[in-house]
Amino acid sequence: MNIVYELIADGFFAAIAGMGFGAISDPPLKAFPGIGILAALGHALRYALMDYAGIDIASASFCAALLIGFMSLLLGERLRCPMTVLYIPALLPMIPGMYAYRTVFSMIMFMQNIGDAALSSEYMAALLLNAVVTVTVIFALAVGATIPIFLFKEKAYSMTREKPRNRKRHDGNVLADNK
Amino acid sequence: MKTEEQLQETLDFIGEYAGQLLGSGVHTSRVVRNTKRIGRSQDINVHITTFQRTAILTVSDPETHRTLTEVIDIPQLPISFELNSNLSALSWRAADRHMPLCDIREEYRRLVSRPKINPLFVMLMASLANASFCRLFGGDLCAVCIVFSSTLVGFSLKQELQKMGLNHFIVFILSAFMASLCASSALVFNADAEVALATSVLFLIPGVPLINGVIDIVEGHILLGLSRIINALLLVVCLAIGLSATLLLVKNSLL
Amino acid sequence: METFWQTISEYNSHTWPVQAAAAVMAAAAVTALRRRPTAATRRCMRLLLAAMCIWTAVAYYFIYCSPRAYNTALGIFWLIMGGIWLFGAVRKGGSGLTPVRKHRVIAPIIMAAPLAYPLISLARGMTFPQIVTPLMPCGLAVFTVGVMLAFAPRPNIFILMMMFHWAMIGIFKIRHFSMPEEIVTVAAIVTGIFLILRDYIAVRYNARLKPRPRVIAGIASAICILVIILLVYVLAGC
Repeated sequence: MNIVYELIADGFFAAIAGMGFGAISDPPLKAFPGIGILAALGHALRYALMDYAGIDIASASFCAALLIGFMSLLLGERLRCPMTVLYIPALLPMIPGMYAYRTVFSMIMFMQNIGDAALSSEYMAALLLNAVVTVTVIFALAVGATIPIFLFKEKAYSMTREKPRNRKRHDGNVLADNK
Repeated sequence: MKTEEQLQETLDFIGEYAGQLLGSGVHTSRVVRNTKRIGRSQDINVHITTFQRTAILTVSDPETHRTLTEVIDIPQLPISFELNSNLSALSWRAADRHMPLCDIREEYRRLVSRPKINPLFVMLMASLANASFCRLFGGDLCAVCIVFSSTLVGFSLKQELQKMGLNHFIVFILSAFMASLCASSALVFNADAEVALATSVLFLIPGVPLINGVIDIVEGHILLGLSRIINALLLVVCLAIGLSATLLLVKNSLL
Repeated sequence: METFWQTISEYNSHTWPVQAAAAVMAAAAVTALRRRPTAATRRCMRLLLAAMCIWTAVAYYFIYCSPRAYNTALGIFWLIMGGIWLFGAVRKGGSGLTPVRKHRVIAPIIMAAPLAYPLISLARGMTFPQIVTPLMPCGLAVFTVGVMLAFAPRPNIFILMMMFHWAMIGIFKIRHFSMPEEIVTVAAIVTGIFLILRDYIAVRYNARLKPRPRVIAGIASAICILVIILLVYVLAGC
């Protein structure tokens, strides 16, 4: 019961975060619910993988991004939006903000304690650790969500195309006009 | 078979279309596909070379082998997913229905002048997003509320300064400083100040150029992808400068 | 908490003449601007606000509150605020600051709300100098919002949001420093900002923007309700 509650809370806040960060890039209004669903599913999956399955943050982020990528393939076809419109905002709540912050913080503390050999090497180690985690996670997110595009090239590239039956109906009109 | 004027007219339109797409944050391979598709609807071949600030466009008539080339400037527009989506749909419609150029242009004008998103709405949504982000990182109620109002301060400053037309690096430094300065008041209440400070500046992360850059690189547009990533990283550095200014003020309390 | 009230007491006993003079000058500036909104009275108002912000930053935070742990960051917050008003006063042809007819009743109440602080403090059994006075950051924040409501037809959202941040801090001050005076701060600032934003949206009702203004007004109202719930929650926890 507790697990279910935690996952739902995690997904809820991730959905708000995804839709909010998405709003900065001016998405079509119809895409907002889709972004929220993707962000919630992805973040809840990562949370479950990290906290209950004990997987590291980079692999967990990669799996979550993969899920977001495949789901955006399905939703994008239904909403007739390009996949990137849906999955870029949905990935943003998974950016490892605390690691990024600690990178900046350890860099500042390193510069402040540059004369002290023990302290400065400690901060240097922290700087490197946090920077590597940040960069790896962001790269894993971007690549994970892009893989579905490569797997289903035809479908991914024609997301915004009209459905064949609509196209046919229009062609019929053209023919009728010509006559 | 196209006359010289027709070819020139098509080239002008495709140049405008490609510039609009590249300027509003669409990844390169989509721009290339869309422009080629528009060209196909007019029975001409389009080749495009893209850089960060300019693009080179060549159109050729397959029957007469007449070729025209143009260099276009890429305008610096705000990122717009709606334009990305609508202009892509326009290219498919043009190709599927063989629309004449004047119709495509009319439709294009209509799509470009569609209402933009309300800045007040963006500000409120971004602040709610940052507050829930703080909750995701394990901040307590006090930290969440302070991050919410700090983001309102930082985001409104960003919008005011952008309206004044200030250089965007300076805008990022000042907004990051202001947001983190406000978030540092979480220290007063023994709240999770570290989480509050870390999340208060995250609304400035240029996520779209970063991810577009990675997509461009894995799709083979390595030069443009790298320049997108470098551009985004410069903004991240500005963000870090603004955050460091606050951290230098309050660092003794964080140890 | 001990240090907190200690610093307030010291600040009050040393600077009460300045505070009294500031209150009189603020009343005079408001009356003058209301009677005759000329370039001179507008500039006076901006200069007065700038002076009060800089006073709060330097005298209150940097000098008297130096025993407190986190005075620097808050002092810089008010220094920036003062800088903005000073910039507006010095700049040539600065527009804005014209009496807004609409809020004739509510705006003076909000501007006069800081005068209630000492009364509340005295009523709950505290004695001078250990009381909350109008020329403190919370009083200044309320006064600023009142001035924006009364005299700013085109409000600067950034200044408003800085004041909203102060209201947010105020909510947590109630519990942390057991300071019920802050209820006035929160109520006045949230009411003021809500009214200003409502006008702001109404003026731009037909702008070609998405989504519809009604959605934004809904979100803004929801946030106001959330703030009130938060206030009640904090009060219940006291």
